[in-house]
Amino acid sequence: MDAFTRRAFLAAVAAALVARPAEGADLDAFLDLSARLCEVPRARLDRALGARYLHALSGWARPGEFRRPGPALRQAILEAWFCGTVETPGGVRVLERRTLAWDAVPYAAPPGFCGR
Amino acid sequence: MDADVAVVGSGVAGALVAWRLASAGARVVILEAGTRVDRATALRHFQSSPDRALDSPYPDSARVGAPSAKDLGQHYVQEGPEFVSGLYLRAVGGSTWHWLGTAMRLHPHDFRMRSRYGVGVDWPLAYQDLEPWYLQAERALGVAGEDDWGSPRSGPYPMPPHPASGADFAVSRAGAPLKLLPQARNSRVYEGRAACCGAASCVPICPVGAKYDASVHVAAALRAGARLLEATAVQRLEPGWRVHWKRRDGSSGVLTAGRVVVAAHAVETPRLLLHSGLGGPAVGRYLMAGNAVLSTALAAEPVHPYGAPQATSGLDLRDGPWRGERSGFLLAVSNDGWPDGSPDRLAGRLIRRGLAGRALQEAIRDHVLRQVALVSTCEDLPLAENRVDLAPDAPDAFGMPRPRLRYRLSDWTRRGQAEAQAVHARLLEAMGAAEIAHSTAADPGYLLGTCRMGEDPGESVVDPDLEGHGLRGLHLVGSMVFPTAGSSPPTLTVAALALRLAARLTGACARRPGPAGAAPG
Repeated sequence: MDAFTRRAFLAAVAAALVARPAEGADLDAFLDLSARLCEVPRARLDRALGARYLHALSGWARPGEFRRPGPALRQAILEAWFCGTVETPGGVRVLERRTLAWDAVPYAAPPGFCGR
Repeated sequence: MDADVAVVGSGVAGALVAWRLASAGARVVILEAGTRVDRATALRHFQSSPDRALDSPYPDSARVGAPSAKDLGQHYVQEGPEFVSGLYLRAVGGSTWHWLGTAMRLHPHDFRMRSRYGVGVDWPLAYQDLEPWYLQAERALGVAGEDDWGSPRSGPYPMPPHPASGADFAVSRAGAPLKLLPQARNSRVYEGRAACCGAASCVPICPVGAKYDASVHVAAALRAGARLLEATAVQRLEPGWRVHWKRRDGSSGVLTAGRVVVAAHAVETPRLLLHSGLGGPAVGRYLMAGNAVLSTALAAEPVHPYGAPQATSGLDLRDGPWRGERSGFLLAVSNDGWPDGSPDRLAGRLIRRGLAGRALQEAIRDHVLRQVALVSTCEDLPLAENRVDLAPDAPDAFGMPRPRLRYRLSDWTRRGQAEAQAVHARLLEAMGAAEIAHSTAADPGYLLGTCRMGEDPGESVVDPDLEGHGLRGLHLVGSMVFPTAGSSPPTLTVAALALRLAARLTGACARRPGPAGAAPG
């Protein structure tokens, strides 16, 4: 991300963090998009967690962009679901540790957990 | 007199001494600069930490005058030539909160380095002197094991060993005669503590308390009648004995005690003595570190990391006829993949390279399942110029001068590191592994020396009974009293020395029978 894009992104995220929580239609669109990008069944994506990711990611997207995401937004969505992290103006936020990345090693638990 | 014994520090050494003495009826006060750790809170801190550092679960290091993984420079003043970090935790229970849990005895030859190999010094006691205390320490901490690793035993381990991991089997097939490591980690429910779930989540915190930490014996000491003053940093000791303490809120006080046991790590102990103007010319000298060589690679076949405690097997290369020429080392097989290769961290790198969907999932699986890492900890030499002293113009959070380190790695240890790297390379190549990479770890797993035991007051700080030369009633216990390092992790030896010291002090301090419930658990 170049400096201009990064500044614009962080400003937008700052605005989004005080914006309204995700509503049903937005969330469904976000979960559909996430399932396509991650190539997992939509039922595997936790709805409550999706709402948290959507809220944290809102600054990434212009109106309607969740329907046709650009490369930066696609990467941010993948990082949310696989890494559990979202970049915000205050730094990287960890929203979840038991992520799709750990599902790729199904017997294993992330550090700090016993069992899945 | 406020106490029969004041114990400075609540790590494994201080906790065991306090527990044994309080159980024998002594009036014991533990002074700890840090605070209590709540495991659930610590786990939340760790899980929400982006960097997942060694001290991420615990209260802010700078607030309690301890080194921080994020910024080592804010604590130590490094004078070189080598940088040495040596993270330790100021908290109730000490650094056992984030230790790995490998609980090995020293090798008998470790006690005779000068007479057998012509390097270092001999300890003023022999392996046989410490053996009964090793056995007691293994029972107190709860050690799971089977092999004696060349250190003769007078009794069995209290628990059966943890099973070998997938990586252990893979390295064994490459020709390494691995043995199961003894671990202070429950292979079954032990003394009321849970069994390990084998999730490779030992450092920096065990989620369920299956790995021993010294909060077990702090709690036992308190049940036996000891008192704990937490968030209370000892600033100065005055023969008599008067223990001057200070808190971050600015309050301060003096505690009087018949004896003082300082069990405050290889940095804090000499720092306290120097700040008190106590001890002879050896205080702070002979600093040693557990210097590690790390090798990572991708195995040809899956080795299934993250399915066992972080280390379950090792290769014993600690002792041999070459030890006059180079250091020995303990090689451990890691069960948690590459240090920066966890599935989520790897995923971030792969996503930034453009992977998504099933290709991303398969790339994570393929890479993580084949990650193998070997870690060898090499013995250090006690060099007089390697030392801890006080940085005069750099106060810590309590207003006490920060520790200044001078450290040079000996050629003897460098040759041991080179041999460790060569052994790693041979094993990994025999496994058909790819992407083999070697490094020396920036953070030594432990520090030792600095207040060593010996007969000569000019070259040591405490006598073989761990009482200060010319300082009656002042006892030191911990890795700071080691005359030589060995290459076994020091914690079990620290525990054995603590139990031996407690037994020697019991007769002098006991006044009343201990209350019921003094056992840990």
